[in-house]
Amino acid sequence: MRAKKFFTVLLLSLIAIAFLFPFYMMIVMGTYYSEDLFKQLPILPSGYLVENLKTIMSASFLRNYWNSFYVAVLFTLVTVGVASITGFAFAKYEFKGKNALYGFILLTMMIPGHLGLIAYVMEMKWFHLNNTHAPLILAGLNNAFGVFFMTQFIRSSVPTEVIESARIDGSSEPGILTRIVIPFLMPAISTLGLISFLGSWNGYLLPLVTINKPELYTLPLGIANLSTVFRTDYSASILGLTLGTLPLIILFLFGSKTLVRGLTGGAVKG
Amino acid sequence: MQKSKGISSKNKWPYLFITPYFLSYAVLSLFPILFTLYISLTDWDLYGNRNFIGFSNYTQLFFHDAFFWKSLLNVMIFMVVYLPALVLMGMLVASLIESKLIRRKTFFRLSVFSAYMTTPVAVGIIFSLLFDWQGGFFNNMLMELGIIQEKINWLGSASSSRWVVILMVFWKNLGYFVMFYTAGMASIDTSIYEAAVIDGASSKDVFTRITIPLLKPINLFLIITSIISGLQLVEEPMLLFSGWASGSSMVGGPDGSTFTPIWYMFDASFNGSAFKYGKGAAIAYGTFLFIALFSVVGMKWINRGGDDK
Repeated sequence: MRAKKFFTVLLLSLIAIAFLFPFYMMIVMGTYYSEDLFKQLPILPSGYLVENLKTIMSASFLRNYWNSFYVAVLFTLVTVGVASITGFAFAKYEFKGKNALYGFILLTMMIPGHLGLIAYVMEMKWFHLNNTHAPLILAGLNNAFGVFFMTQFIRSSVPTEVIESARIDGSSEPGILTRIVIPFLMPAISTLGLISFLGSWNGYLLPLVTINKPELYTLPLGIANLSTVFRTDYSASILGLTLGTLPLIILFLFGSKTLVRGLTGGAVKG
Repeated sequence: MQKSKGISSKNKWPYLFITPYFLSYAVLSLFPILFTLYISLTDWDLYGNRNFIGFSNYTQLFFHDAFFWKSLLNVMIFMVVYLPALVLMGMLVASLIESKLIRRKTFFRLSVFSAYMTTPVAVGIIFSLLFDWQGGFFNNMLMELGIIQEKINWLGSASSSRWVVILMVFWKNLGYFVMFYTAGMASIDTSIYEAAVIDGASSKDVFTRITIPLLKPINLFLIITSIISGLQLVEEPMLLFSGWASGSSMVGGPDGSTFTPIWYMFDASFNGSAFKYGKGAAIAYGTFLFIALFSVVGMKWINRGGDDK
């Protein structure tokens, strides 16, 4: 048993190292003077962190950071909000056309996200929303996976009796939703919230085609562009990437347990 | 009277609750999807041409465009290699993490998942630096270890660039698979395992006879969503060859070996000289046809595999 345990831990540690390695390299490379980066194996951190920080700060890095942050927060709120109320309706009400509409949503999950991209960009232009952050946030309004996930979760985790007794007590339907249902949904909300935040924060293609003002750039766009602003300054850009990944790691550190709990109670429960 | 009023007010609520979703879907998703279909039947471009030309974008694409087929072939090659690897390794790593022998579960979960959280931009850039010809870490390490005598131009040849992309996608997505398998395994009733152990089942038997069959719905979900997203792979290879290490960007990698359909769509409609929206739209719909086809085949295949269990 003891040997088996040792072996399992060893194996997992090796896997963990292999997976953390490129990530570790990214952190270390951010502390190098760019010209030294390729001279030796950058295994240990070097002393150029502060200089690199100065370089990226001079390149509207904080502005991009803020853009990404507030876009991701609004995107997440919109995604989770709409998915929750839609999921509630599908999970706990009987109404005409329910099965057809739900089937329709499931079907649209099969449609690739990039299919309507060209016309979406044009549409945003007609609405005069290009070169704003609206196209990035509005994209969260109809998340088919989110609705599917919430419906499954509400069906299995929110007891109908509680809703019915609240109804008998004279609570209105929106009141039931906000006071009774939402508190039950916290694990699912944080799971879907984490996934949505991740998707928005890391998004590249959509901002790339809807935004061409540098002051509106989100983080991935800003960093991808750093490479053209500072042709040779790899390490500064890498530092930018590291700092861009940091909030996600922190979010996940706190959310890891609820993420698994949310997935268990929701979509993947066969 | 009072009662019927109560019922009718109750009946309007579910419709009100689903209205925001369907309204926004109609405006922000359905309309663009249908309009893209229309665009694909025109010669719409930046210069204001928008003549209806029927299916000629499609005949051009399917019968005269080697790039389109190449980009489809590329993503299929990638998937054939990394999907089975992700399923197998994902289950294995998840079962290791979830085994009773491991206490620091969060650490191991986080370490495999960290790659999934990293932005595609960073993934592409990190790999382009790791596999750089002259100064890249990978070559330097192999040289120091004495495994190779001369530096290998990983991103310079067609076959090795494909491997780099496969490795990159595998590295990025394993954490996602592990996360879902972890969740799935956590939801399996432990009494099933205990009963199996009492009956004398080996841990290999437990894994193949209990864990794998019970993970079937998760496999279905993961494989189908991976096919859909795999055929849409774009950001990582695009940034791998965006000229970070080599200095000059390269569309599609060497010989177009890492060109992907959505990269092609992006290039035709937003990056080319003429912004050929018609062509880009046809590429999007052409790719969608294949996604639909492969999703159906994938589902059939998984369901068939489950019948004999």
